[in-house]
Amino acid sequence: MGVLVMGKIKLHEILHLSMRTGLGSRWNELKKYNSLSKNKSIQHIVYSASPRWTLSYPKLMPWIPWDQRQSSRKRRQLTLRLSRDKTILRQWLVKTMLRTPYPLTERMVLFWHNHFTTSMDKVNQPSLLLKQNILFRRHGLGNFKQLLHEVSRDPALLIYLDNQNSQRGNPNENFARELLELFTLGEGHFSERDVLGAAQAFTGWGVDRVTKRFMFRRDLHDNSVKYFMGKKGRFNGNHIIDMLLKSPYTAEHIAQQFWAEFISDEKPNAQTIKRWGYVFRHANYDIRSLLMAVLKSPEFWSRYHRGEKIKSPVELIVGTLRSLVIKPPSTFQIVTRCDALGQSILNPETPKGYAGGKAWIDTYTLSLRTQIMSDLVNNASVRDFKRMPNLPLKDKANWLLARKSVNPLPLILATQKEKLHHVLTDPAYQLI
Amino acid sequence: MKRRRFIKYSALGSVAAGLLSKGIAHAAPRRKVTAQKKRILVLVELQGGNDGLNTLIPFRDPLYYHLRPTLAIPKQSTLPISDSLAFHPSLRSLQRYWQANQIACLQGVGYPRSNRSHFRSIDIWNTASNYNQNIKEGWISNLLGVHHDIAGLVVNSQLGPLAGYQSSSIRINDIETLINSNQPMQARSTNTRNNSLAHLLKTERVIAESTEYLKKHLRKAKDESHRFPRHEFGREFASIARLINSGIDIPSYKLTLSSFDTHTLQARPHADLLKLLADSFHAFAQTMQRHQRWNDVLVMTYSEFGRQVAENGNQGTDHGEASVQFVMGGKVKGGIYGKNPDLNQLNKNALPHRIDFRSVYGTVASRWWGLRNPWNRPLIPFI
Repeated sequence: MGVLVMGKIKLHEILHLSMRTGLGSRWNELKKYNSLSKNKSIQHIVYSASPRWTLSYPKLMPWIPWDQRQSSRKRRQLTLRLSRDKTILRQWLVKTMLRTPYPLTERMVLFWHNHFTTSMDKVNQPSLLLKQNILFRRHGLGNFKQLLHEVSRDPALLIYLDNQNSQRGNPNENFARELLELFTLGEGHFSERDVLGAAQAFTGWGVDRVTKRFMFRRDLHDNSVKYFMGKKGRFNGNHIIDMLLKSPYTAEHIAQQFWAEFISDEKPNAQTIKRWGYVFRHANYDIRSLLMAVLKSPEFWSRYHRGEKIKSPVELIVGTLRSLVIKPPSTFQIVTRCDALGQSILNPETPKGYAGGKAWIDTYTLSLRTQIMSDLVNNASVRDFKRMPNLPLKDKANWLLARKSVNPLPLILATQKEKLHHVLTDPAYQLI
Repeated sequence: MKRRRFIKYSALGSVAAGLLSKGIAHAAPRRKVTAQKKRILVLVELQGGNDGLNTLIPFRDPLYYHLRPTLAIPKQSTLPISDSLAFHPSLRSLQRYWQANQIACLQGVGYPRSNRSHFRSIDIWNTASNYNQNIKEGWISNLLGVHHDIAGLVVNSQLGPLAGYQSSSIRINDIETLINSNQPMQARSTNTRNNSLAHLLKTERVIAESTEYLKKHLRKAKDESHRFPRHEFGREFASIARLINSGIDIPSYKLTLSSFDTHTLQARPHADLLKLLADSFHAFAQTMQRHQRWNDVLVMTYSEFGRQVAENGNQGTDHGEASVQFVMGGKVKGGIYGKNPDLNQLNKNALPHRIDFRSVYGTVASRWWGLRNPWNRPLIPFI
């Protein structure tokens, strides 16, 4: 295996770590780790990830309140600008993912956006989505308590979940329900009465019509006594969040999401989730501590969970482009291909986000995935191939595949292009 | 095609590998189980929770107008179909089918201990499970088992009721892409401990075995999408019509109309959605009639839940419970089934269910497809 012997960490281990915590596995980056032990590698990945690195923020149109008196021409112009801004923002995110030296940060941004889902099409205000994205960068590897509090005041999310006009006497339940079901406790750990109590507590948490910043509207807030999780009091939104953070179910719910993100598409073991939930709560909701616990766990390294996750469209396309360092197709194409594969960036279909796992693959998306991979190889230039590490086919397969290939390897006589095509269109390449 | 044999074989193979335990119980039943030839079910999912009360309107109930000061449809603009109930004005193009006795309106359909989460609730509808049960297999997959080359086809929508480990259902985005696709996919054994890989291999096999078959049939049928509403949903409906006209043996289809989750400013978007729905139904019915297939199809709507009765403060409605379902087709016994909603008896501002949704599924299973009804619920004689 020649080149593949690494120092203190085995190639398949660093490959696994890199694919699961980053986007793709660049050969030169893998080599960096050969002087580090397993624990040091984990530590390096988790603690070196800078939350600040992005391409410079795109210039988006500031919020302009819609005015009924505007001429239809003026309104048409605004609509056009909005739709251009949406495209710009989606492309900016993809470009950042392609170029970042800290793929873990991008992974966490995607993760939190899929947790606190917000659809740009409904909010219809790209600048607010950018603001939210920066929030996920700032706290995505920070403290979950703070993240939850900040997100509950995030204009984009409040608009998306219809809370901006929720008022005393007529609370809108949408935000409160998703707060309990998706963001914290998880399904089955609350009652309809809790949803109502939380909805009442969050009345008046809205967005200023002019500045589009968070605004607490005292005149709309319901200051009466509410019932929530078996308690009674004049709760407001902050009280609700604090009570949610006291429940062990919240930490376990996040642990469960981490399982799905980092370990496997299969169901977790209840004991594991309890353990991680405990770690998370006792680390005062420090996200890095939870992540360290996950990455150091025997479950993460178990060979049964290797290659047990199906790649998301972003992992597939951006990951491949990052691994191979080939000239990417236009960002526009990357975005539309992700759309077609079911991961519409910044526009998830439901508040639950992308279902992920096996749901990524059906008869339509699998053909398309294979087609896209095939196109990537066929469009790669001679120069692209020169840049790739010169590895024997078997090593190339070991480098790019999370498990052994399904199709038999082609003959030695095959050209480099044929060999790469072979690896990228193998069903095993869809796994991570 | 040798597909049926192949699937049975590989399903048994995976049992040997210890891959599956549940679900496989349905794999090799001894009774005859193919759905009656040429009987087709087209499921239309109204995603987000359709407001049943503003779809089939109790237009004589003063309480309805009282609880919905801004959202109630004024009496004079509703389209009455009985003494007490009326269609939403957007459903005008369905009136003729009502008069021809080809629409059944099932009122108050839901399930006990209703869950108001979109995700859990649609899971329950898709799998016909109890509130405390977690079934992976979709209800149609479960009914049809492995006895059809292609059990179902969804157009640009989740597999939902057609999902399942051994399901041979396929999803397409649009017919053109399908016809132009030429990926070399292989049919091979899915014996592996890795369930994700097994899923990939299974999907490859379904593609390998069905694509050519579909392509071959589709050449026989014309594209008639110009007769459908100019909207994605209309085009999707047209694709299904084309597949049915091609004479291909697929017993179930599904498509989705989304954006029914109307928490804010509901009136206009809801009216637009219902109009699109009704116009697409009309175009579909006409196409089927032209091709003499109207008696072979059953179009059925469903939604994860209805919406609450009193409107919220944002001229919208929050998640409720029971709702109304439409069933339409040449063989349907039109009429209103189920008691009228009683707005005095609400469960946390929502209509409690009067008909269990499994009664509807059971009726489709036994009276439409002639299969054994696995749900022990009374049937509804809408077919």
